[in-house]
Order: sequence, then structure tokens, then C-alpha cells
Amino acid sequence: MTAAGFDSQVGYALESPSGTYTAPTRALEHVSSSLKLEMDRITSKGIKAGRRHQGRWFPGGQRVKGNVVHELSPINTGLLLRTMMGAVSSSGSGPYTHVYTPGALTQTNTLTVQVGTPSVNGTVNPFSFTGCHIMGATISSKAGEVAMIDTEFYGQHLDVGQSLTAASYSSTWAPFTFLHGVLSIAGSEYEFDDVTLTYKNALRTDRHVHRSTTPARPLTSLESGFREWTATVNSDFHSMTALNRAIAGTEAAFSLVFTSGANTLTFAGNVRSDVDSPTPDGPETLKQSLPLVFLSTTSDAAAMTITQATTEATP
Amino acid sequence: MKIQYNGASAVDVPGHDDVQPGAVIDVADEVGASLLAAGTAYPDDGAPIAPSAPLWRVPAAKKAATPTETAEAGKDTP
Repeated sequence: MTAAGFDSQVGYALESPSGTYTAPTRALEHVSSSLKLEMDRITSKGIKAGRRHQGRWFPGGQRVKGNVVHELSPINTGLLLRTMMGAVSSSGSGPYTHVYTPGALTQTNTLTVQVGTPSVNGTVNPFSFTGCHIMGATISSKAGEVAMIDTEFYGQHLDVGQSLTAASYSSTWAPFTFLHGVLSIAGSEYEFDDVTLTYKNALRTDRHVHRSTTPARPLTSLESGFREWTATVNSDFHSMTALNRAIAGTEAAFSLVFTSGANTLTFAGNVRSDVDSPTPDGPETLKQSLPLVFLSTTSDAAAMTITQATTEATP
Repeated sequence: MKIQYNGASAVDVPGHDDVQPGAVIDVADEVGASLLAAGTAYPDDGAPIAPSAPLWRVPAAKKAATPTETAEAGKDTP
């Protein structure tokens, strides 16, 4: 029996304590994973008379880097959203409402990501990446396609000595498509072709230090800088309204809502529009690109809050 | 082996779709052991730490039926 990519799986668990392999509690249908262990090699600079090749080297620091791409669903993505944003508050009972706001990305916000990686001998090999923080994410939706979430991870270690955890998927998982997405800017619906939300967590990584325990692994990443949420909305050039707002420097409310039955996922905040004016460079109808930056002088949550209404009690 | 699902919403696991909260399913031992361990932390230098609210557990064994005494009990069978 051989095994191929269709046998692969991605599972997640919130770590406690941080950096400790924790057997996955849920699996998410994935599109791709590029998570990898990077191991530095340290080469000696010593010269030995008459030797033309340097033969001495040592193992160096290590880290985990890469992205995991999932289709965006209102189900089973709460763990990613919570780990990405830092804070969550939950209320209600079937459907439950989980509100994700910018909060501390502490040592309680690391994940074990286990990627079941098939080899042709028929084995699905568990690659268990530990101490993984979400560095950032890209959420996108394009007309005619499924909405996507692409999460960028930075982790501490690849543990290849653990067992593969049987994949446990949500039975009700289903992704949003472009049919489910509606965008409002400044309180009015804005018809669009595609939208891309980009998030960066500004974590300080590669914290390798001299220490007695696992010195090859970096220390847990730390918050170090301002977080950034931006968006780009591409559409027909509807009118001068959006461009005038950008030129005037008028901030506006932004709300991207995906609705599927009783499940909703809302990205809402306050945006500044940067100026990108349309140009007639051919006979076709003109297009407009809106570069948006999320910000607020009121609060971090007013800049960006993600709200999920779902049948799941736990994010 | 038989295992019981303690999660809050239905899941699909190898060999079983739409497993509802509280349901008991029969799975291969390897799958069962793996699911029972979900959420367990394995420190490099210590004993495994079980999750405070395990998603799966071995269902409680049914109480053995108590033999019923009858008037015929103890009599020799002709």
C-alpha cells in the first residue's frame, strides 16, 4: 500500500504548557501545508595546516516556519482565530457567539500543529510542530471561489517521536464561498470582485540564547511592535465616493460578513482609505483598488474584531 | 475497542461519521488509543499531563447482573 497527499492531515491542539507536544484535539480539512523544520549548521572557521577543506561542523539553532492554508469555515476555525487574535469572549447557547479581539499573545497562545505526512511505503508520518505562534494570516474571498484563510506559523521544534493522532473532523464543517460574503463600507454595501485581509502580529522570533535546556530551540516569541490589519478590495470603479473618502482622509466603518445558514463570521473595524485612483488604460470598464488600513483611536477592538456565530460551544 | 465521545459537537473520525456527543463507537484499538490521548501534553522531561476535560473516554463498564435467588436455588436437579 502506498500513501499520497490525499492521506495527509492537519491537526491542532492548544498547548499547556507552551512548547510541549500536545496531542491534537481537532483536525481541519486543509488545502496545503508548508510547515518545515529549519536547522542551522555552524561551520568551523579553524585552519589546519595543509587541509584544503573545512571538515568540522556543528548543529546550530532550529525553528519551524511555514504556512497552513484552509478553506474559511465558520466551524472549527475558532482555535486559529483565538490564537491569532489573543483574546476571545463567548456567549449564547446554540448558536454560540465568539468574539475575538486583539489580546496578549502569551505563552498560553501556542499550538501544536501535527501534519500527517504520507510516504510511499504507506505510512502517514506524524510531523508534530510544537510551540507554534501565528505570525500573521491572509483571509481572502474572490468571486467564483471558496473563501480562504492562510496562516503563517513560527514554532520551536519538530517532534518526530510522537504518534499520529486519528483525525477528528467536525461533522458540520463547510467552507464559505463568495456567495456568502457581503461587504459594507461606511454603512453601505460595496459590491466587489475580491477582498484580501492581511494580518501581521509583530512577534519577535529567533530568540536563541545560551541555556541549559533545549538551547537549539528558540524561546517563545514575544510581542514586539504594532500589529497590522490591512485590506485590499478590488471592484469595478463604481463612483467617486470611495476615492473622495480616501482623498479627504475620512475614516469609515468596515464590515465583511460571511453568512451560511445560522453561521456567520464577521470581520469588522474602522478603516483609513489610502489613495489609489483608477486609470483608463484600455477600452474595458475601469477597475478600482481600495487599500485599507484598520485603525482606531478608541480601542484595539474598534480597529478589528472578529465575531463568529456558530453551533460550536468552544472556539 | 469502545470509546465514548465527550465533545460538544458532532465529529467524523476514521470509520465513523457524525459521531454525536455522548455516543459510544467501536474503533480499531490503534484509533481508540489515539483518540483517548487527544489533548494530552507530553513534556520532554516528565509524565504525560491528561487534559482537564478529555474529549474521549472509555465508557463505564455495565454493572454485572446480580444472580436472582429463587425457591429452586440449591435444589438438586433430578
